[in-house]
Amino acid sequence: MKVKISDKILQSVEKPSRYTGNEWNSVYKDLDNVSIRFAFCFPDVYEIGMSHLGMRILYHVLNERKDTFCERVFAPWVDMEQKMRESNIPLFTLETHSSVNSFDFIGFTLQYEMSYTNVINMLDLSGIPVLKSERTKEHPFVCAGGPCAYNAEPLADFIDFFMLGEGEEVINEVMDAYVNWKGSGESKESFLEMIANIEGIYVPGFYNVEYNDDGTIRAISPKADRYPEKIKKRIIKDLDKVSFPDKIIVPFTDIVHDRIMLELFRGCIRGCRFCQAGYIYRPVRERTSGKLLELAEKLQESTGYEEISLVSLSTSDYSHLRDLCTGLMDEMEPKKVNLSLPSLRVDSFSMELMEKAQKVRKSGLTFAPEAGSQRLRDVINKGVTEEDLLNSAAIAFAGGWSTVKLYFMIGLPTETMEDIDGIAELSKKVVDVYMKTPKDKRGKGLSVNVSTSSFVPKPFTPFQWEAQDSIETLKEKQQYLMEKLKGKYIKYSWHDPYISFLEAVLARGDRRLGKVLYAAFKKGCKFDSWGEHFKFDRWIEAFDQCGIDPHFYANRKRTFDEIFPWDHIDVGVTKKFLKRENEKAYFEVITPNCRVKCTGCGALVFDGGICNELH
Amino acid sequence: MNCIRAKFIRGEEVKYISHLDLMKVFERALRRSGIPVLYSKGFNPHPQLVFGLPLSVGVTSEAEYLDLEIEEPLNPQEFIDRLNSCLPEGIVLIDAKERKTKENIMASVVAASYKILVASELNYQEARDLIEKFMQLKEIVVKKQTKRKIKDVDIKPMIYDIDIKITDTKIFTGRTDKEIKREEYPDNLLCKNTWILKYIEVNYEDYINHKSSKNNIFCFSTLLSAGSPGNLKPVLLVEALNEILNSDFDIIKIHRTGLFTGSKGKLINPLDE
Repeated sequence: MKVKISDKILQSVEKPSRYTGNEWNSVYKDLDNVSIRFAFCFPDVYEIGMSHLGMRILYHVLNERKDTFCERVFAPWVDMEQKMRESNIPLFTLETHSSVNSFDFIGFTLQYEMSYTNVINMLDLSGIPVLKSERTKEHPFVCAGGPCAYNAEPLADFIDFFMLGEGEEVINEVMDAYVNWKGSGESKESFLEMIANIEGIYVPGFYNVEYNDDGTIRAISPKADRYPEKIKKRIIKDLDKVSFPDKIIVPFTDIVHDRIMLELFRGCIRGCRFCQAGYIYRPVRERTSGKLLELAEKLQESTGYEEISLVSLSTSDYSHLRDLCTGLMDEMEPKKVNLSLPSLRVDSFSMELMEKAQKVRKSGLTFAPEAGSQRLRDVINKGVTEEDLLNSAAIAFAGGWSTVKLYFMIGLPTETMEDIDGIAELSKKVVDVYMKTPKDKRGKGLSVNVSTSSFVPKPFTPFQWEAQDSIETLKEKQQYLMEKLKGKYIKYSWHDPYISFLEAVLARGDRRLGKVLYAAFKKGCKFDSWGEHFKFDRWIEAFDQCGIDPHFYANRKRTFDEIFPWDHIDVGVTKKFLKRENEKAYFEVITPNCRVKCTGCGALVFDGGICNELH
Repeated sequence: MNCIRAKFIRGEEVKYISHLDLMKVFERALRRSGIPVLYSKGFNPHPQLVFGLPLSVGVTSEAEYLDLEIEEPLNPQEFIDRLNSCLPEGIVLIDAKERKTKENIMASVVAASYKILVASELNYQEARDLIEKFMQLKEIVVKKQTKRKIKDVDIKPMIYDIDIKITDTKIFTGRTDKEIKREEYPDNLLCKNTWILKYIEVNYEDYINHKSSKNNIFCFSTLLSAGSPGNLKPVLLVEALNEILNSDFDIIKIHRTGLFTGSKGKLINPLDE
């Protein structure tokens, strides 16, 4: 069904072009010639969702199929949602303005826990029952993927199946199965049966969870022998061979990352112990620089973009960065296309690079020491020393930079007030380095922006057993830093500890949180990652109403033998390895990165990338 | 031809993009097309594009203008074809000529003409009388928001012309228990602009709210001062009309039909300069 949104409505909302589509390179297909309609939903506003590379890739992969038409859907901003509800306009796609309730699939990407209420709200807006138990054969299948899908137990009541890991191949296998099923006239259940054995597919309804009296999990088991006991994530072994979009949509309106995103590699060699991305995307697999140059050229021609950025978890670790950047600059400079570099590990090479690439913009250089003391940096395996950092700052200041951002985390395991002091001291040392830089070299107007986020223990990290600091403790630490970081050149900002708390609850949550999510949604919680819409008291009401203690999830230290809600998910990296890393953290022992030495994390089972190079 | 002045349209599909975003659309389309447009010098080179009068968000237009320079001569039709194949739906170049005048389009615009579609409770004669009364006023002082403050401005000298047309020859005149009363009007009072007629056809249901009494839709044709001599936006004109004469015109749609250079007494089509 096509939805018509009147000018009256569009003229009354903020940024109407969020809802009108028609962008360059968006895909349109003849509806009579496709058999699968897929609504790819990003549970946040257009500008955020359109900046997400994964969506661009899967949009392309699905639309490469002749039988499938994938369209985009974003969460309408609150003003638009209100108008839609007033006028009974259901959630619609950007391409054809079709109501998604008649689609074959509604697929969500789960990039952050705080988007879960938006997932539910979008299902509700589409007019289909939000609970999977209430949906029938008339309704679309609802699926989800993305990093949060590795522990999406809190969403188990709402989502029919999850796709774990990289989606390019598995999504095609699911579409193939669907084509067979659609003609068969069989029940919805039978489709889920068909795909339950595709590697990477997790159908939560096929698994039982039992609990101990203390609230921890006793067992997670498949309801029948035919379902896999462990669900293994999918990876793409050879990134050069997998399909990458050579035409990407060029939005009309400013989005967060309004440029070509060139994905250099997946995974990260570093292994910072708090970082989930550092483990779930293993092993590291690189694209060759030749392939990247070829892609960059095609993308530039098809989009007309004036900027290319390099995307990956830690761009400095790309093996052929020099070749790639030189190649890109040679190719792009005559076309007046800029190369924009993400925050690189600062050394003389990258400074030279930044000097060349961003000729004029000398603002905003970012350092992420993450912790204030060497001791704590060893605990978290952040292989950077104070000397490294100050040297980098010296190079940057001498190169004319005058604005630096310093990222830290508070609430890390073993943290004491001395470590917090370290944050303030390190920040001041950065100011000193600037003062020592000759006046004729340094840029004017020093500004050191210190920012702290609060540590959120995540599944599949060595810190998955750890307790999060209480909200009160986090606030005290922030207050302490506020006092310490008063100064002419230093500006301090911090993350809302209430949001971090809720993130910690959901990140390691289990299925019992489904009813809390539902209750919070009913109370109007949405856009929780947007400070102005986050309603902590409603969340607490929701927990109370469901008789669930959020502190059980956020602030409880787990024992090594506890069964986690995500223990039936296999990301390659083993629990045994993570335990070992957790113990090493307490001994303040560093683990070398994947390129220096293989430390046997388990990702070798995927037989790809860096693991092959080393073995 | 190295200096080009092009005329283009902005359709319904692209009426919600801002002026700034429109400039980006052209920059990127030019890059895709490979047309060797001349860039500004300096650290952050930009294609040197100059647009006529910015269009407010939500307004369509059949007469937008763009000045640019290219590095090597290109025949106008080839320029049009190459760029059109790289522009998103709704933005279409319809003409291009070598620009002979030195003054760029933005600096030389003096007037703009618009169709303003409005809903009202009034019948045609009443609405027409109001407009005539409005035009006989000696001054029309309105509050105009400038960058820093709100000031009083007399917009009377900025209104060059205003006319009113009907959009349906049968005008609603009221409702009895049994039937809707309509009055027939002659065909020559009918608005003939195809953009407006198409819009009414597509969106009829959205605007004829049968519960409301504003059942008559009129189309104002206006010629207003624009650009450097003083810019009068059509919204402000209708607001002034409503405020001063207590009328009830609700704007449904605004559409630009022309931009002019020259002077008030002798308006010139920008492509004829």
